[in-house]
Amino acid sequence: MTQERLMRRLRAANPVPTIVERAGSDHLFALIVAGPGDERLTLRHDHRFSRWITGTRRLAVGAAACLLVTASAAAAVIGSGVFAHATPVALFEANAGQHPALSGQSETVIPSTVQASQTFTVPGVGQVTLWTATTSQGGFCMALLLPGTTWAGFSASQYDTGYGSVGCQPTYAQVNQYSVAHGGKPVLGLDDGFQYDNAILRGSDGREWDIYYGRVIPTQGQPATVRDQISGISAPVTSDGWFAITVPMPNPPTTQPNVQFQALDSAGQVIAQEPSAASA
Amino acid sequence: MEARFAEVFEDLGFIAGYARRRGARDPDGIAAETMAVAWRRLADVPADDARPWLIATARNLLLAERRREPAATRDLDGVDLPAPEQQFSHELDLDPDLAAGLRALSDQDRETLLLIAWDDLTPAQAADSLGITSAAFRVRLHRARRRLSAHLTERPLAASISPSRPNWKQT
Repeated sequence: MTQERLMRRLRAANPVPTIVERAGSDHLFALIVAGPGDERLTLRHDHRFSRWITGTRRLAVGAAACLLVTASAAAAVIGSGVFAHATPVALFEANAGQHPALSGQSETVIPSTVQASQTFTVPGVGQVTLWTATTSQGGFCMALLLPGTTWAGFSASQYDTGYGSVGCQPTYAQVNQYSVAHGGKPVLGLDDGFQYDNAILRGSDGREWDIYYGRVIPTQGQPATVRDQISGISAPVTSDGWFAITVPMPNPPTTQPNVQFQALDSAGQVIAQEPSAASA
Repeated sequence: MEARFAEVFEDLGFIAGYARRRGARDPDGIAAETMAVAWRRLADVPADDARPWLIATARNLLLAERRREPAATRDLDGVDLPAPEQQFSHELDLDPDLAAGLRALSDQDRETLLLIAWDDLTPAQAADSLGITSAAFRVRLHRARRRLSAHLTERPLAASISPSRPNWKQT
């Protein structure tokens, strides 16, 4: 079954295809607004405590400001055509894939750290290069350069299924620190040393490949290799922890996780390991 | 403040529809409670597009509703977890094959598909409602479609509720 037919069949089965006006909604509205509303907005409206902006509101304002900056940058980048033929530095400076709400701040690439960390071959696709960088906020940037000098994630390549994440992002530690600083709790797992994205590339023969790319920073030891325990496939790790590993998409697909990574040092000792699906 | 809430309140029917599609026992109640939460936390509701925030809130209320149903819970090391086949209502009137396929998916895969196919969200809105990046959402959607497609073409699937690992690891 094609993906289009599948989605059409699913849409046709929608048990509530249209939005129905709720009877008595005026009464419900009156009932709700009769109760105490959001104190933060009430205080702001009264101008009594305008200097005492709460942490949560600061979070909202910060995220909104970051989104505005992102939207402006993206508009400027699209206008200049950078998407199609950026240098890696320009690509990371444009930072199309950032998600500022996660850390409360934009990530700013350090141009001197931009490097081609790994070059590897994907069957039916050709040579792919992982470009990486770090940011002044402590985060990092990644992008996959595909044959024909296009970047995974912009769907400009015949091989790209459009799932790559291009740009800079905070580390899990940054996200958790931000959440805790604003009265929340850690929101992202940190314990296994891995942080990565993935892209799906389609080879000229129609086979699909999962490209997992990112960093592994174990609490102890120097990783030399990343190994997928499910497929048995391994890939080298750079001295600063970057890796890219190509795993075939399961066909037929399974409901089991595709991968479970472990990092090994040069002596073959496991120094970092993702939890198994059962314990994840 | 009321004027701003009135804009959010326009999505009451949309949220009731969401709750009904997920098999809520009391979809109108879920929608009303979602709006009450939005009123109390209006500063947190994005002014430009409230739907992802409202859906995330409604989803939490739905989970709470299910936790209150004794038959739908399992106690696992002190944590209440709905059994996977019970997270998707048997009461929805669906094509049996499709219903079985949706039930065979993990909760995460199913929600990913339905946010797009039934709730008509954009991938960016759906990603926001799940608290993940758009890129991570697109990967999830791609895989969920493949898994459902495989089920509907009667290919064997391993019985598991575990989805493939998301890009962002939620605790």
